[in-house]
Amino acid sequence: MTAATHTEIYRPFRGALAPSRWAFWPLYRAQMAIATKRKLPLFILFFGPAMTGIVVSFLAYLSFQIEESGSGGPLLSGAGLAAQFAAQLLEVHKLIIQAMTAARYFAVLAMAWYGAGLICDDRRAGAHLLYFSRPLTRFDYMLAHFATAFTFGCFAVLGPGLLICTVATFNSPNFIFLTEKWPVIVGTIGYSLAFVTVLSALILAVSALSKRKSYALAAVFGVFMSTLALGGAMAALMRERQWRMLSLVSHFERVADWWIGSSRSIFRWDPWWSVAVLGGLTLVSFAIVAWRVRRMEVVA
Amino acid sequence: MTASAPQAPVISLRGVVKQYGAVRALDGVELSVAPGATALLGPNGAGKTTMIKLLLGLVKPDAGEARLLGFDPRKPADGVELRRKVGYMPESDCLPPQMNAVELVSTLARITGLSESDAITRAHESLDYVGLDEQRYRDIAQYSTGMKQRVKLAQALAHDPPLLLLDEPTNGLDPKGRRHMLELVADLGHAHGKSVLLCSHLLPDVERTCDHVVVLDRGRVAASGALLELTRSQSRSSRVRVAGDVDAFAGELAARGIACDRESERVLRIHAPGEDADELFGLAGSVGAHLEAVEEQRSSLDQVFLDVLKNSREARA
Repeated sequence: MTAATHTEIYRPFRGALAPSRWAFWPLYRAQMAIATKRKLPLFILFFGPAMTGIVVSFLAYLSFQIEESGSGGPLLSGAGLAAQFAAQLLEVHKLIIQAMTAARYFAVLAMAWYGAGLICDDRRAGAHLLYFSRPLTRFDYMLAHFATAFTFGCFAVLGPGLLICTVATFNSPNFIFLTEKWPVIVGTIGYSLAFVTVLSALILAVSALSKRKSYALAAVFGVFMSTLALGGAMAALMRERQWRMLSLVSHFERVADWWIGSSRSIFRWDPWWSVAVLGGLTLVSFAIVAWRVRRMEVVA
Repeated sequence: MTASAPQAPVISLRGVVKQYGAVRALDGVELSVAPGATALLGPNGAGKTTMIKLLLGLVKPDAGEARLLGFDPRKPADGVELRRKVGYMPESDCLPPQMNAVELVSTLARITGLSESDAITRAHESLDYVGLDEQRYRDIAQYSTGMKQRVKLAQALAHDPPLLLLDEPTNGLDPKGRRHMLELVADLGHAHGKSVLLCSHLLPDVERTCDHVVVLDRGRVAASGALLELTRSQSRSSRVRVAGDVDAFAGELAARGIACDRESERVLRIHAPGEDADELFGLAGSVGAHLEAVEEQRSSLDQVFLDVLKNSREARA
């Protein structure tokens, strides 16, 4: 039968519906597609991390090239060569820490831009009505949104870190960077993932509590900058560096010092305190997201 | 609907209670909905939205038993599974503005369990069916209300569910768009074997598309049944044209306690709810008259709806 006002007929679906074990995946892909539709913000937000990665990788490359050309002469003894390699490895190590520090702010910017609107925009548009009327669990919904923010965070933090490590590995003689400094690579990956996880959870929680993306964006930066300013101000006023524990950024730096290693650490508190603070923040953030998403599902 | 329905019910509620704090949204709902097109009517706050959420498995009943297409929405596994079998078209704005119609419908189809290629194919078929042409590639933010309503219907159809829950599908549509939407709903319900539960405040829409009606009031079913039966049972009068001795026939009616008014020399309006036409013919014959025409004066659905609400509230009072 054809309705009178148009000529199309209804075609029944002849295939089969598969059980959705990865029901979050289509939603995640859709979120990524929406986020990457506009190319200009993508370019602006990831130009910084990309340039950081490229420049620092080039410096790492150069340091090994200079080393190789310098070691070609017959003047250096074996012990001298080893000492020079060690110095170069340390130099690359410092470069990685500097790159991670620089990329951190770009990462906050990019993740907040793409993550702040994820839940509040859904609620504002009412899109959750469509998602929750499908075989999509609350966990799938949260996972899809978390994965979206997480992916952008990885592009901004893990990407440059891995690029530098890869360049250093392939340019170091006999892959000495991989064989000798593998804890730095593991630490870089671990720190990047931890940073992105904490930040993704925080951004989603703020998004779940906000009415609009702009409010969520302001709130994320508010949390970062206000704690940074408060910790810095208190440390200066009280002449005690422990006050920096008030700052979220300082906790990230403490963990980076601990995991990637740094000889210039200014933090004196036990790194487990920072792990506890960041872990607690993540758990609270996930609890807030779960609570708000539950409300969205039921009050749909 | 109800007990006389020969087919297994698609929706069955037995003593369902749902309480939100002090508010009892559903108060012992007893309902059985047979396959076909059924309208869910009720004033604001009657419990329609809660019932839809319950049918989708989004809220659990505090008491009673609910079955939808054989699934128990209280069980988490059933709750997820039944959403594969149901297409839901929400009343309110719900479309993400940054996506286009093809992306949205295919994404939702993928979530429901279609493969990627099937999802794209179904998205186009559904959008073809609702009559959304090239505009399907534009961002939804640029759509008119009518186009949005079509996308909402298309996404509900994407996985070809046996049951459609349509919440105010003609909301905000112009007359042409409304006619088109009603044709689609009627086509789905009558020609394609879909069971449709249509929530609407527009009773003419219900009359055009549905065979059965459920009236909810303050969390209870105030009336339910086939649309024709409901309007007949509430009918006030029959209009008859009498040949022969009209006065004798009127007198016989009065003697039997049946009120009637004389509209013209040969036409009477008989106020006898539910009176069988055969009995009227018999009465006329007994006094030497005969009936040339009997025209049952049906109540409009509006009248039935108002009467049902009034009776329900009086009974509670």
